[in-house]
Amino acid sequence: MATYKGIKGVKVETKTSDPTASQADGTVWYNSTGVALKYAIQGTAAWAAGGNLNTPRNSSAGAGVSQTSSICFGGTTGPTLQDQTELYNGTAWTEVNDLNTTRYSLGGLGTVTAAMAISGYADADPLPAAVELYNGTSWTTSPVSTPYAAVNIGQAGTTTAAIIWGGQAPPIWQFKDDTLSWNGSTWTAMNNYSPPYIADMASFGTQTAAISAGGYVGSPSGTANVGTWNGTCWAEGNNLNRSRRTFTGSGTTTAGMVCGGQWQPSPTAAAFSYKTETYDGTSWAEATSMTTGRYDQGQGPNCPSGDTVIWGGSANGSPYSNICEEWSDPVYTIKTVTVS
Amino acid sequence: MANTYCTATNFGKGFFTHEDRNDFYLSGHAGDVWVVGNNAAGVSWINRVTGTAKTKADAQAIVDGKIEEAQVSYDAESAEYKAMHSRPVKYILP
Repeated sequence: MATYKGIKGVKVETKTSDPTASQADGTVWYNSTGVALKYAIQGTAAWAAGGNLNTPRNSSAGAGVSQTSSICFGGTTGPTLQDQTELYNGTAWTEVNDLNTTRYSLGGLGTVTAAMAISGYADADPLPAAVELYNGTSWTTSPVSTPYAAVNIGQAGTTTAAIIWGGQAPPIWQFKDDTLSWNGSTWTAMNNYSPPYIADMASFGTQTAAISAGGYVGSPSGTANVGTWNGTCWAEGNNLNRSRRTFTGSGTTTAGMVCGGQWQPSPTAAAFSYKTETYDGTSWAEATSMTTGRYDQGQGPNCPSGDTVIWGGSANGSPYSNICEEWSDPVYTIKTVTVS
Repeated sequence: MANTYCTATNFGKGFFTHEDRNDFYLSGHAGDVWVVGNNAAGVSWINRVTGTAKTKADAQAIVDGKIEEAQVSYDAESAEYKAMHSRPVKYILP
């Protein structure tokens, strides 16, 4: 009969407390405190509840690098536009210093100590083209704004090496196909986005390798098209499984994820907005759905695809949410061996 | 019966975990309505979050009421807002 020692080369270890599940994956131990034989396994990716935002909102922007280090800024709660910034530590949100320019449907990228807020919508005319930079304590308005003001742009990169593209701009909410590169102090026009004219997409990546997934092209149902950016030009990638717009994503061009979104006018829109898809650099696969379907949520595009968090947004009957969900891929779980 | 229904307030971190999501079906809806997979883990979760059991019809009525409220709010919004947001639509709970 095979024994644990025969397979693993060691006896079952006795521990007074359980190790971290991810570090213990594939091992068995005896928990002497709980008097139980336990093991850790790798499960499928899943969503878990995170701490609730202090200020419910949709159309916010975000930055951050993990579930325990993300930042939310801007957004709207009905007629009240938001300048609040909240910092997430994996458990709770803490209010920190506000944006200088209140706005929503803005762009955001970076980390909790070097974040960037880009353009957006405000009750002022003209729209803000302002760029603000967060240093971990406060926001400073850059002396250099974006060349044009727009809402619902795509964005990727860092505060010193970013690109933005697309969006909608007044006065007639024209779709933009511009791609602009940012080096920390100036914007440079790059090859235009193709297929042209898109907004409300999910976007993530770096200045030289980015993804633009789905979005709004004038049709209310959104598109499933995906653009891939290599630092020089855009190419057509494999489509999403579901057309959608007003959603978010994070990761890289070889490991990404997107979730939520709108798909009107079908009455199945509510169910659709739960959808999660993961990207392996070539194609998209449907993954475990969000627990609370939504669109217009916030998310830091710089988070790894398997360690990210979404917050706020809108759902049918709940237009301004404060609910947060954390996405982990994979999930590690500790189980107890039961003998019957 | 594949699913059961309850209302519960999402208190944030820990309200549901990754393990919960792997152990049973769970989806959240307007009005703090939750659709929960009808197995031992799902029932245990309802108890853990102090959920109030509802029939499917009651749960559907709560969601429908919230969506109707949201439709009224949406209809009062500006054309500019409507151009960028979908009108809430009723749907059938799973």
